[in-house]
Parts: sequence; C-alpha cells; structure tokens
Amino acid sequence: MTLAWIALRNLARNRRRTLLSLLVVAAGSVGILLTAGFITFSFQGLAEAIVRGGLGHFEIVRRSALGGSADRLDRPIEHGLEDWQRLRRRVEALPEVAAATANVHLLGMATAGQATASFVGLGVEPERQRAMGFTTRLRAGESLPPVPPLIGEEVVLLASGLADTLGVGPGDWVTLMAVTPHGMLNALDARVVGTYTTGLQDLDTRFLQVPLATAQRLLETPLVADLVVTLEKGVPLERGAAALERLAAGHDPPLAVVGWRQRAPYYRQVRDLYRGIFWFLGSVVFVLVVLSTSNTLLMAVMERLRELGTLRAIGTGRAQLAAIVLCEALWLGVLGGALGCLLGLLATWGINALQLQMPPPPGAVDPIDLRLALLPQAFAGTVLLMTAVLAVAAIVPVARAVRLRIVEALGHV
Amino acid sequence: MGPVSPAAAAPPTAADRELLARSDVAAHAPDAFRARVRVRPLAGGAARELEIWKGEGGEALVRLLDPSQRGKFFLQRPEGLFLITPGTRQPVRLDPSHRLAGGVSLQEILGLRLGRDYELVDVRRHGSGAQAQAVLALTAKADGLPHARVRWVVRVADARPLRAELLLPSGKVARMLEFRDWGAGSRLAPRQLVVKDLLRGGQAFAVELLELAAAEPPPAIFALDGDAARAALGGTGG
Repeated sequence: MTLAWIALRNLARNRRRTLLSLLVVAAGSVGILLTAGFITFSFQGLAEAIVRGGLGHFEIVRRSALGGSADRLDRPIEHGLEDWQRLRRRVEALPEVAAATANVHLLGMATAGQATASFVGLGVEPERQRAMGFTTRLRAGESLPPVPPLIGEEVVLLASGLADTLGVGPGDWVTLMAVTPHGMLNALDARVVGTYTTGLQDLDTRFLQVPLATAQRLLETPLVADLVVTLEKGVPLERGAAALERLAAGHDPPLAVVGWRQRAPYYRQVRDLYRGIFWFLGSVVFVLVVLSTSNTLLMAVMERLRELGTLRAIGTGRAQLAAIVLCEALWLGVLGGALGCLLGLLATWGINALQLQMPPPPGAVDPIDLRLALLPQAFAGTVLLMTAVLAVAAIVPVARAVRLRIVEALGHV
Repeated sequence: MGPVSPAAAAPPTAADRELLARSDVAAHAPDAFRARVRVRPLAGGAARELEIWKGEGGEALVRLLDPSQRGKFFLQRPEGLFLITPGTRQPVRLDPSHRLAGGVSLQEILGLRLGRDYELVDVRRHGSGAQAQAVLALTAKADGLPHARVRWVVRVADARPLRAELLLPSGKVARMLEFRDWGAGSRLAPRQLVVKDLLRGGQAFAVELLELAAAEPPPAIFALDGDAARAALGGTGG
C-alpha cells in the first residue's frame, strides 16, 4: 500500500509527463469504447432487424425439410407441415411464446405484359406478422390486407426492384407462376397492392410477398413450410428453445426447432467481419499505448537514476524498486482508463445526440444510423484492459530499474 | 443406352434424307387428332393422364385429366405455348420447352417435326444387316425451337427410330427420348417412349399412348379466348 502511495506521488512530481501519458491511455480507451459501442449497436440493430424482418426467434419445421443440414435455408413445401394450425395452437399456449405465424416459400416467374422475372416469394399472414412486430418497409402503396383474399382476388406486395423490372406499381396486375409439389405448373393473377424494400438491393430485384392463402392456392397445397415463433419479451433464447424442443419431441413426423442465427448467415458474416475489425483496431491501440507509455515510463526511470541509486544504497530492495515502477504504470492504466471512460461516455452521448447517419453499406438500400451503445461491462473491461496494457508497457522500465548498479546510478549525471 | 459418341461422319445422301423422312414420327401422325397419353415417373410417383387435341394448322391443346387440375390447359399456337388456368384472366405465355407434366414437354409427346424444322447435316452409320443404325445429326432451321440440335438414331432396316438425343447449343445432351414400343399397323406411331432428363441426373418418365384417333378438333378450342369451347371438352373423354 505504501509503495502504491509512493508511486502515485512520483507521478504527481512530473505532472506534464503524467498528464501526457494519461491522455494517451485515455485516447486509447475512448477509441476502444467507441468502437465497441458502435459494433454492439450494429449487432443489436441487425439482430432486431432480422428477427423483426420476419425470421422470428425460432422456426419450427419438419426435420426432413432440413435434409440433414441445420444450415439449409430452403424450405421445400413437399416437406411442409400438415397439422400446422393445431401445432400453432400448442406453440402459442407455451408461456415463453408471444405468437407464431405460418409461412410458405415460393420460387417462380412473374409476368406483366411482355416483362418476365423470376421471383423468390413468401406467403405470409399479414395480421399475425404485424401483431408479432414484424415490419415491412413500404415504398409505395399499402401493405398486404389483414384478411385472406377470396379466390380470384389475389394480391401481391412486390419488392421495389422486382416491381421496376416488371414495370408495375400499386394497382397493376401481375401473373405469378410456380411449379406445384406435384410437378404441375400453376399460375395466378394478383393485384399489386404496394412495393417494399428488403433493405438489400440484390434481394429487392427478386422478392415478393403474398398472403398465405394465395401462396397455398398457387402451389395447390394446404401445407405450410414452417412456423415462425417469437418469444415473450425478456425470455432468454435458451429457455424458449428448450420449451419448443420439449413440445416438438415425439411429434410425427419429426420436427426441428431452428434458431434465428442459424437461418441468418448474413448476420454471422457481418458479426465475424465486425469482430475482425474490432480486434484489428484493438491491436493497433494496444501497440500504440504500449509503445508510448513504455517510453514515458522508461524516461521517468532514466531521469531518476540517481534517486533510484540512492534508494538502493539505503537498503531498498530490487523487488521494492520494481514494485514502485510497476505501480506507477498501473496507476497510469487505472487513472487513464477511468479518464477514457469519462471521455468515452461524453463522446457517446454527443455522437448519439447528433443523430448522424452513415452512407448505405455495399448492397444496402438505406443509410444506417451512427449510434453507439453504452455497455457498462465495456467500461469496466476497458479500465482492466488499460491496466494490463500498462503492466506490459512497464516490463522494460522495470527491468531497467532492477538491473540498476548502485555505484553507476549514484554517479549518473 | 448412353449418348452416341462423336465419330467419323459423312455428308448426307439422298438415301439418308429418305431415311429421315420415313422415320419422322410427327410427319406420320394424322393432320388432326385426339390422343390420350399417360406420363409416369419411372422412379415412382403418380401417373398423369393428358388429353391432346391437334389441329391441322399445327395448333395443339393439352387438357390435364386429373380432377385436381380441372380447367387447366396448355395451348400450342404458332406464336408460342400458353398456360390457361382458372387463376388467370389471360393465357400466360410460356417458354416453348416448358414441361407439361412430369417433366415432359409438348414437343416430346407430339414428336419433333424433324423434316419441317430441322436440317440434316451429317450421318454416321454403325453395324450391319438387321442391326445397322444410322445416326442423323440435325440442326434447327430457325431460332426459337426448344432444341437447337438433335441426334436421331434410326434402325436402317425398317426406318424405326430408336432414340432421339436433344442437344444444347454447346453440344451437351440435355434430354433423350427412347422409343420402347410401337403401335400395331403400318403407321409409324410410338406406343411407349421413355424421356430422360440428363441434366437432372437421368430423371426418367414413361410416356404411354393410350388412344390416338384422327379427329376434327371442336371449333375454337385453339383460340386464346376460347374458354367456353375448352370448358365443353369436359364431356368429350377422360
């Protein structure tokens, strides 16, 4: 304790140099905090967008639809759910579950006049989707109506790029063609009620949504491809998964419960990319802080050689001397980290208050918000990290102090 | 039986052209007829029956006889192939190579119009005596046909086609038609053929001709707006 106090007083002796070191540590801390805040906000935003974009927290699907691979994303209707309405009632009776909705996946051709384009479609239950908080970013017209359309009154919501390719807008008619599970071609006329964006340009040229009943009529099937489930607020994913797994156990035909992360390879790719960026930036900050503070600490040792020699001459041990230098470094880490946290907090508030936007990432349609998440654990972790970084930076100065020879030190000018 | 490998070929002679004409299945069919065919996947699965009306002008109408497909037709007209279904207000234009049922196209059922639509470019001959075969290489005379190139393998002794290999422009064999059985009588009428999709792992379908009779199609069934005439077909068979 005494050594720590002595080390703190030593730092106070050269306030300018100490302040400079503290600022270096604080700047590194701010950099790490802002990066962590941005990445965390991006993860949270992307996860929320994916879950609320229609993926839900879990999917219940026939095991045979996965074809032995949990990463398989297509859901052939041949492996669809027959008793889906009864199954949904059981799922929604679980206390962990907020709601469940059925989907039918489509692949086919859309034509309007002379224009033809292939599409990837989804049959959805609009009213349930809205109740589950699923969002559709409309560009024009209206969303799909809440009530299933009557036969002959089919409607479709086209992604904006697909609507452009077909040269249609709200109120126009398109013909949707798809091959049924029995290998027969079928076609339906559908009125375009609106256009929307998926958020990604490539997907916008292919995607469409139709009411579930329309999709089933197009495929001439009463089956649905899967049930998408959202959990009640605050229910951990693990608990939700366990409850659904228990419900699915023993079902004939066998069912699989698939988490949203498994069905979102895009999320995994973005997360891995951001993690890579974070570790790269963290490494750069680590090296910069270590080099600059190590230099400062070494200077502090070199300037005090006679003093340190005197301490050794009056009986101070090498370990005590090393502890003093190490404590000085640790104080710089703790205080610099704390200062960085304070500055990081202010910077986070300031940036969030400015409500800045960044240009759309490659392939995306809309600009993204530049927001930073406030993470208590990141603040605590940054102080600990900076303390550890300064401990590493102190290795050379401590070694120099330990190797000090009393006679040379006392004669040092 | 696999695709024929390329070998030395000779320019076609008058005898080769005559062989092609004698083996041209579609050319031997009545100008106008009603036929009923059954398409069955060889790997298992439901068989489907189709009623086909063909007019003298080359138009054809395919009616799906499965009760669940009531009201659904494929209509071949000079300007293209159309799907007519209760779910659409207008006939929907399709790619001419579109598969009707069970992965078989209308051309494969009606027969390719070899003499009319294709040109004989070279010939190779194999074997001798009763086993002698001629491989006639044909190319489409015009764009827009479902198959740009055809290899037509014919038994020379009786001018019976053995198989047709339908090639992509690259030369890759996409589909193969094997003639398995022939109707009685002098007319060249296949009773059963097997269609293999070589681009999809050799998926194979048996096409069985259940009925074929020269018949004048009911008026207006080939018109794009002939819904009433087509609806009346419900009582004509199947």
